[in-house]
Amino acid sequence: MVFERLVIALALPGLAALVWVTRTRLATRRLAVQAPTDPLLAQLPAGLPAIVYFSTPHCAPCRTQQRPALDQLLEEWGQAVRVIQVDAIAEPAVADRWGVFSAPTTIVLDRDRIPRHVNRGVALVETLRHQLASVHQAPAQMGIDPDGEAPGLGSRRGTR
Amino acid sequence: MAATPEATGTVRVDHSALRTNQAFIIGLLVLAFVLNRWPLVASVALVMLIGTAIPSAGLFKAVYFAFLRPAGLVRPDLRADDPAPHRFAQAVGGAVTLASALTLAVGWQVTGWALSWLVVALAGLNLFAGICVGCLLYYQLGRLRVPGFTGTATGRS
Repeated sequence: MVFERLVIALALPGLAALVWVTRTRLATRRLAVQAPTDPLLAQLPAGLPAIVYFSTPHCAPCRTQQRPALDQLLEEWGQAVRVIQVDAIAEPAVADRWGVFSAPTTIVLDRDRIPRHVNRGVALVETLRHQLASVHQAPAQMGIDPDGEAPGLGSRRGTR
Repeated sequence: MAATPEATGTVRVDHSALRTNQAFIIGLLVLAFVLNRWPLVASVALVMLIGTAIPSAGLFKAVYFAFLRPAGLVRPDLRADDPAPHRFAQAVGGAVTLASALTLAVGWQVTGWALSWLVVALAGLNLFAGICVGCLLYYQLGRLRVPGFTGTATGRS
């Protein structure tokens, strides 16, 4: 009896992990098809990677961790990247379209506007730097002066 | 005027304590299932609910603060965060665990253990993937503008 229960206790987490990984991959694929033509990206210059950042007005980690991490990234990358910030409370339809169910959520898009990384919860600057580098050349490689132009922080509802 | 931590609901939350709490919940509920002991499920529910009502009396977190952290077995992971969604998540988890214990006590084995495994799954999602489903529920209630649900907890990436 104990042995049977032990086998079940080992098998269930494995099955759950398999379902989770499959579900995540399917959701990412669906987003990859839909995102490039999403109206949210209408103002995004062609050929630039971007980060779509979902927050809420009362999201403490958005203010204290995610926003500073994105600001630091923008200082490093300058005009080589865009950040599109969306208030998930004010624009629930956009949040639903992008499969957002928590804040902060950051979605890293490549130059073809295809989502390559989805971070649910705070994405540290190291994580974002690595993800961005994986979809685009680093600023130094592009010959961009990080202290040059203003950072590319954009928002469909205005620039912060 | 600069927002104070009190005004924003933001304080330093040790996420290692939260993860230790989740690990204990998972370990003890799985052990209860393997040994088929519903009183152990009831004990976990009690610890979770007491820890929700009186955070300083949380037994699993106390083990972390009294032994695991001082011994250097688990490193602290302090983050500016809102503890309210985490407390809400634990309250929901504690309620489901209590329902599991009561269901098992009256002999409804399948339903009872299914509820326990639900708690294990959700705690595992939080522990291993950094996704706090209770916090997401809190976020959704905030989106629906339910009074009292205005914070958002952090996960990790």
